[in-house]
Amino acid sequence: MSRVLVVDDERDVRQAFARALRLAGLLPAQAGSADEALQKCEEETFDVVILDFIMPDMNGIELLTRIRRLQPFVRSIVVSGKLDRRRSESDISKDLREAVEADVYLHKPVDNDTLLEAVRGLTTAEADRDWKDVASGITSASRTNLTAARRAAKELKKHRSRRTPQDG
Amino acid sequence: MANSEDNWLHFEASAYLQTLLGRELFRSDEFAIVELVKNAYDSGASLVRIVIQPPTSKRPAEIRVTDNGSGMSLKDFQRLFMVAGYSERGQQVHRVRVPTGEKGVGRFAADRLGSKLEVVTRAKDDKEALRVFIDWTAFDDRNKRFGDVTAEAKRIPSPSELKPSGTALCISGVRSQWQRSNLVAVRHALEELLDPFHPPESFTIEFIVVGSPALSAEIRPPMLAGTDLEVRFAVQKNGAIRRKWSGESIKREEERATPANTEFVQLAGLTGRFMYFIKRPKRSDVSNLAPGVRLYRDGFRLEPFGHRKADWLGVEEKRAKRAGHAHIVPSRLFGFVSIERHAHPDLRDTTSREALIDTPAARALLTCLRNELVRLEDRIRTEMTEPRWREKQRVQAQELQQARLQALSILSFGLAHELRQPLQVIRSEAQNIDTRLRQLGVVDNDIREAQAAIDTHIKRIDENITLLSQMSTGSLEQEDTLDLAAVVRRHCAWYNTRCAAAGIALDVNVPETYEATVNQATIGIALSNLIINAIEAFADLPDTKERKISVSLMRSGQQHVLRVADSANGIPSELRPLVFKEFATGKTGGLGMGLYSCRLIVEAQGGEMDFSTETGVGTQFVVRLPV
Repeated sequence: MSRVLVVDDERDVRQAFARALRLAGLLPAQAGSADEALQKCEEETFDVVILDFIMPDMNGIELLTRIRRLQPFVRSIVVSGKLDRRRSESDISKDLREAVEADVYLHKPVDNDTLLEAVRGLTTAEADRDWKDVASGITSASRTNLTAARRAAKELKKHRSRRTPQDG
Repeated sequence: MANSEDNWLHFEASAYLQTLLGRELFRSDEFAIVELVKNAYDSGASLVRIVIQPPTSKRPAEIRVTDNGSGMSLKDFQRLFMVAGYSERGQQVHRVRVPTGEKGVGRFAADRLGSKLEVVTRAKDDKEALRVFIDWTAFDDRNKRFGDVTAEAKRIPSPSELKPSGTALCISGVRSQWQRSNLVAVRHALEELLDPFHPPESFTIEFIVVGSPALSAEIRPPMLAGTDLEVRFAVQKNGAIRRKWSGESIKREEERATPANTEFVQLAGLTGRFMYFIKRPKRSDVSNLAPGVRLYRDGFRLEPFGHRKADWLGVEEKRAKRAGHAHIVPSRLFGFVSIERHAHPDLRDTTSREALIDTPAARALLTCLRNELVRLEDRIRTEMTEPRWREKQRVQAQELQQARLQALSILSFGLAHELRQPLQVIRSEAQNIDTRLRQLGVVDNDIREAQAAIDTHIKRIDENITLLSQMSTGSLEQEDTLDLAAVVRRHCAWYNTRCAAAGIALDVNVPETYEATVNQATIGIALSNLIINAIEAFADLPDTKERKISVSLMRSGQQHVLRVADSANGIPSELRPLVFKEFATGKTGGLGMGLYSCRLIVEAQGGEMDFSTETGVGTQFVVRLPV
């Protein structure tokens, strides 16, 4: 079963997302701040993290970068009520992917079906194929960093062993 | 007292009188040289040449003034040159040239310039020239009598430069240093000596500085070019004043006149010209002339009127009194007033040429010129200052709007997020309720429809937040290429509910798509204002009247045309001129702007906004924007 981390500084928003995910059969965890999110990421591995772009203590992109250092293979969905609405979600996704490899960008208020579809899209077998590119990208970046490379390899192995055909 | 002769006492003059006249009478070297030039003119010369030789290590300074006038015979010289205070000029009324000197002291200007004077003069019918040598230091002895001072006179062969007649003055024992500043001052004084618009006829002044070709030149009066506003005025025989307006800021020349005025009858024949520049003129445009109003008589400047420091017409004073609000900026005003000795015998200058003698004519002159300045000021105000003021107002209004929008955008930036958070919760949880109920096996139409309705209206709120955000973060200047039809439709949709509640049919007649490059915020603001005004127009009307608002968009030639028409009762005629006036009707509408500001920002885009109205029928507003 896919593990999803929902990060938002507002409790009701977290809970609304978490409930939608839970009713869809997923196992959401919640974090109310950047610190809490990073702590959770140290304790367990997630498949997808859903985070708001702007939070009081750190912006979403910065948080995502730090989460990635802990969990190189986690996929991400960035949601926000603030950003440039005139740009389409796909345009912004593309930019974000180039900047920090965030995967999906959604405008709030996002409807549940859209959110669930995004999560599923990031955890299916097709998504897995992209992983090889992601993995190679990350390992080449950490060429000089042996620890990170070893850790990345370990994570990939662990993740691959967890994936079963029923998931997603 | 033995006999009757002893009762009569005789006046005598001390030789020192010469010093007083010569050196004290002339404030500066420029004035002295100008006086010698006037003497040359009075002698009928067509050319006067001034040669200044500044001192060198080898030779002392020397000044020469040579003219080709009538020259003097020995008798003339004795009569005219050797008698102080004597002048025939006041009596010679039938000569073609009106003499400029009248006090009979001009010759003593030479004393101011140097301690020694050599005069070589030749009268027309004389075969030889007369050479007289005068040492002004001889007059310094206060114990000597004026009449005791002598000058050596000799006949010499006539020099070639004095054919057929003329006078050459050679001044030595030069008193001043004649450095560059002094030379430049003389050159300027000579340039300003002649009336640029009525110069004395057939009279050329040459100014030569030995060793300095740059400073030497034939003296030309200053010419002014590129004045924005010019008025030429002339006093008629009956004291009326005729005026001609011209200049770059006026479309065509205009003629005006004031009625007869007995006070100005004594000024009849006076002509004048005021020339005004809106912005400080380049020095080349005004031949380096200092601003101010100058007075000329018979082609020659009267001193010191128009002198740099003198504000004889009180222009500076007026401006100071009104704390800078007077429309005439003194440094941009140039005036040239011409009078004639014969026509205006009562306009006389004092001996020291410091001022006009206070006579009724002098006072009338001041009044007349001040009146003309008032008219000039009015004209400046209506032609130039006011339109520029309006332009400034327009820019200020636009900046104010921009500032308001910026303030709003700062608010809405945070607000958008604040509004979307609760929306997210409502949306997600409403859907969660529906999902859970289905999972519990509850399949119900009402629940499904209710949830759908919640979702629809959440989307609607979201769109409105987007619109508000966009409008307030948008600038009033940036142009975007967009689908104007969609923008108009979206704005109108905003008002659907309000119209429905008021029983108004909102008819939006725009094409499927309409590509345009415009400033989106301007469109939104204008449209919002107009629709709200239209809605409010129905406020006090009975329900029986048909209520319709039509919005249309179309292309007409090189313009986008947006129309908002209502079927209310029209704008009352007394309010029609106030529609676009600031604060006039008290309606603000839209984002807190009135139609005044609306029109300003439309005009800033190069567009126009106007309306037509008919009582009992309705009103239509039209916004046109250039393609």
